[in-house]
Amino acid sequence: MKVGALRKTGACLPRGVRRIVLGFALATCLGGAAKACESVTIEGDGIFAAPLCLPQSPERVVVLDPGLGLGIGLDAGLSIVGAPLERMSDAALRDRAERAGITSIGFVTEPSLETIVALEPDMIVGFIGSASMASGIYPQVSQLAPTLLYTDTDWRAFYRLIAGFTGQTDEVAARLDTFDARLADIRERLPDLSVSVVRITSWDFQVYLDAPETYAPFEIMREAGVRRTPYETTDNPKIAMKRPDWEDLGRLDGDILLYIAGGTNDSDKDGRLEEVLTNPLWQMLPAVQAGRTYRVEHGHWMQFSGLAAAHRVLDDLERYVIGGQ
Amino acid sequence: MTSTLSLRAVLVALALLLIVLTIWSLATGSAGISLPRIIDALLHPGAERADHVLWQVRLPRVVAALAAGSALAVAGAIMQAMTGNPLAEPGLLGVNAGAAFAVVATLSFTSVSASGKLIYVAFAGAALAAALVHALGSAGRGGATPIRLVLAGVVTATFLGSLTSALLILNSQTFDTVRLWTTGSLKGRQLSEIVAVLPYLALSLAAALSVAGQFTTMSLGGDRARSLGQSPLLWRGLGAALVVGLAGSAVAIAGPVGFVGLVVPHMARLSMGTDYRRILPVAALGGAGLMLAADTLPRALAGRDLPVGVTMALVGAPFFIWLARNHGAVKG
Repeated sequence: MKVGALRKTGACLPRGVRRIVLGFALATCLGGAAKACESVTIEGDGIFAAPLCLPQSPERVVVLDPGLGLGIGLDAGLSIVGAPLERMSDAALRDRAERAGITSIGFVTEPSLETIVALEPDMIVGFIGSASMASGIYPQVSQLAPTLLYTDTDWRAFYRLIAGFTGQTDEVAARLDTFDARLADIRERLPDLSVSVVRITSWDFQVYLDAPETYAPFEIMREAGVRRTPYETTDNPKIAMKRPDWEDLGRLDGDILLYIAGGTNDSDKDGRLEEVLTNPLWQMLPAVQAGRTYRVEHGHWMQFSGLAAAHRVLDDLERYVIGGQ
Repeated sequence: MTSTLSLRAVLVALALLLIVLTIWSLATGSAGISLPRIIDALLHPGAERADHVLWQVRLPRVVAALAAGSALAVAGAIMQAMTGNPLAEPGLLGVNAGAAFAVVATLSFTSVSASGKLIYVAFAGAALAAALVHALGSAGRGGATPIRLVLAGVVTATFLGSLTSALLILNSQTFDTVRLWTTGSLKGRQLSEIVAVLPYLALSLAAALSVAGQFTTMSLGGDRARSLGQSPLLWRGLGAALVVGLAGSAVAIAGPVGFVGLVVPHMARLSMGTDYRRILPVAALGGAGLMLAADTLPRALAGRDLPVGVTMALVGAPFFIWLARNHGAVKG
């Protein structure tokens, strides 16, 4: 815990750190303060109920979410013993979790507290994404073990935060730097084209927006400087997604159209996808007319779980936006 | 009094109103297509975007609203005559609960999930639930009496409702698809889906209108109907079959839209008197108009697409109160 060791402060709490290093404001407290914390004290914007006193190198961690919490936890070498693997839709990540010997604690919205107790965790971790949701979880689970609930959506900061518990701070930082370098390179090479992205489910269309607070893959597109259409762009931090009807679909008039089908629903198997692709209103979209529509995988776009998925999003941008012209 | 209103004059006025509503609804939408362009696309279908928007998006929705609205209103009037209960509505025969359960069960246990196929599942579920209600209601001596039908309907709807909830708890993935079948909406309906159900609906509607006089007799109660030569058993069975044809197709098209089947028959009765030969045609046109207005209003005023089931109560309730206050007490 390099940073923490350097920052031994009398108050046991380092001063607030900027969002970039968010959550990684660690400090060891070797006594002296009124409420001495034996291990590490952790504080930051995205940490629920901060400051928290957490073990320095947890050995039995239970993860509460099957997405970023589990994916990043595994990536950063956390010794995870339990996670909600039941009815998990990301099969690849589930296999990886099972190979790592992780016990399922049930379904994500109703984890079995008994199973969690039986696993005797020394730390509980969750990538929750909002303080209001964390406030409903924290009072219960924090009685079982020291609990770290992450309420921000910045997955890079979460990587750094978790790496602090596994001694892989430098490795993770290097991997994030590699990714950011690749992102910057792609940003340089992007052609001046607008891109539309739509998810076709069995029952509707979903468009994740270029918005201040948006889902990670679309945040990456935003960071890469991909220009979306006006319909897909907003400054409103409260809107992250739109559900266009057939009439609104015409506003997805980007030069390139990426679409997502199947995955957690059967739109690619139940006839819905063909119905959409053959509909005249779809056929009239500029990108379809120009032969520039590409189906992208549900996995890394809709079940984003860390750096591997982030690289696959960049793969798609490279292949279809840069290479597809 | 109001019951002396000429049926022909009322029907002509309602028909004109429907035409105006239809044009208004066709001209309402996010694509911003001018009214002349809409009318041109309607009369001379081309291959431009405006033509496709009209024929693929707006027209199916208008047809669905008109069809489901008139079917629900007529089904509600029949239910009220059949049960002698002014609070009866088509959902009391279990059609809504049956459709919702069939859809949720299909989504949970089979690989069918496209809404174009679910429309048939909903129709079948509605018919089976209504058959069950009727069978339960007519079990034992004396056959189907109004109170037995109502009780059987309540029991069946509650039972199916709890099964539906149980499935939803076990399988939360289906929740998004199911929203349509629990609130009622006309969004995204394709013309081919509506056309598939329309024959059943039209046939039931025509049959109901042609025997409208029987419902007047039925509404007098079992004993008096019998003394007038009507077989209550036979006509309750026929009435239930007509309600299934009407409300079952409506729920397959639009999901369970409440209120229209309860309120429109009362509006028709308030203005036309107690003769079902006058009530049913007025209810058919009135229901179509109310449904279309409720579906179009949020998009026209706020540019928002609200499920028609939600808007219906917002539009219908104040109008109904106004009508009731201006025309005296609601007559059963």
